[in-house]
Amino acid sequence: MNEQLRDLLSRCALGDRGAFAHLYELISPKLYGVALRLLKQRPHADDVLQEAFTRIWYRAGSYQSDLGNPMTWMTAIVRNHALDVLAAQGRHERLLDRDADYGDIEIAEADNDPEADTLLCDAAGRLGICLEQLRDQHRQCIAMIYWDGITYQQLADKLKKPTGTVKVWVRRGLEKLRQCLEQ
Amino acid sequence: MPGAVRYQDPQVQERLAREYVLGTMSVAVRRRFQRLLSADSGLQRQVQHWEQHLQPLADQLPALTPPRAVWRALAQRLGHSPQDVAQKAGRGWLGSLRLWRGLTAIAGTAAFALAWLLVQTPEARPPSYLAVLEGGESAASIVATAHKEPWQLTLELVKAPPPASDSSLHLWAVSADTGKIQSLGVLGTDAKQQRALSGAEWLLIKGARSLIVTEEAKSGVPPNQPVGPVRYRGLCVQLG
Repeated sequence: MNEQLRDLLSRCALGDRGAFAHLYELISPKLYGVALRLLKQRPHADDVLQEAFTRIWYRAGSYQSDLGNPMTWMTAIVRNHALDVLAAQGRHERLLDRDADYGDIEIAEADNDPEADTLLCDAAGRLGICLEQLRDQHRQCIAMIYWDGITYQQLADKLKKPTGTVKVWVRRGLEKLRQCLEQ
Repeated sequence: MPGAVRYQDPQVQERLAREYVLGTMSVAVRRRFQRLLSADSGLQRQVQHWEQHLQPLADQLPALTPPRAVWRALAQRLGHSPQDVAQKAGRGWLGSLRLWRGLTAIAGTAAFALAWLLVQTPEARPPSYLAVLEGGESAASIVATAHKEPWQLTLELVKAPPPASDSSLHLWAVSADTGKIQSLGVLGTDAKQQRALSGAEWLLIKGARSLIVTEEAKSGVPPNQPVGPVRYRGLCVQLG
């Protein structure tokens, strides 16, 4: 899958619109899932997805395959833009009880798409194993912040723990993750 | 430690990169960090490491199909004609031609497909739908054509190594409207295979965005959804 995505990106860099359409077809459901989880509201997620793919089209030539896999590169484009939008919205004032308002959204057929599954397999392996080895509370904290774009304070409120405690959990979790990956 | 020098400390860089990728920086710190990041390749490497480390979390999120309006707006914004690509609804003759031109942008496959069309004898019935299914190595591998009156499917295994002895190749149609994947049966081993299509199968091809071929285990009941890996895939193009 990564090879296919690299190939499509290099064709996009040459202005191949068909390759861009194919790329969109292949990965937009995964990237939309990431954006919607962060932003909670479809109109915002729609805008972020559109902006992210615009950047992917214009920056395809700057993607360097030796600096990471293509899915990570494109996920970072979506996440960075979504986090900027959250920052502009003043997410620190947002209430946490908005978490679930995307719950009625139908899971895409892409979930059953064998190609989408391959994306998952590509990213698993060592990284997945290291994440699994983290203590549950550490992994849960890291995942909640990463998925939902919440602050330490919001996480602490949600878990009914002091902010300092959740900060330590996240820091220790990430340090263990790094140590595991460097083994 | 003065500000600019402090940011050269590898431990500080590592911590900032981690917080940036995780998304916990305050607005002001995030903006300041982005300015530093644009000019510091060491910091960029740290960020890329953490993006890679945390990617499995993103991979665990469910995929959700974005509204079609996003694609239309995107195509318009980039000056791409939505008719150039496979996502549009309704395919008139001109649309098919544009789709075909879009497909021909993919050089290797297009050269092959064009050659394939040219070598067909003039008296042969022109196909209504054509899909050139590529394998992982991007060489043209399987050409699928569908004819109407009578409905018929022809598969030419141009460059398709046989699957393992305990598995077989399955052909599937991916719906343009819903993304749903439905079976078009099992492939044989002959280089050229032809069979009649039922009305339901014809509609599957007619509404398909692309065709895919997966490798499935022979044991047990044939799957009604692909389980095995995708071996070949290609856009389904309407020709007439």
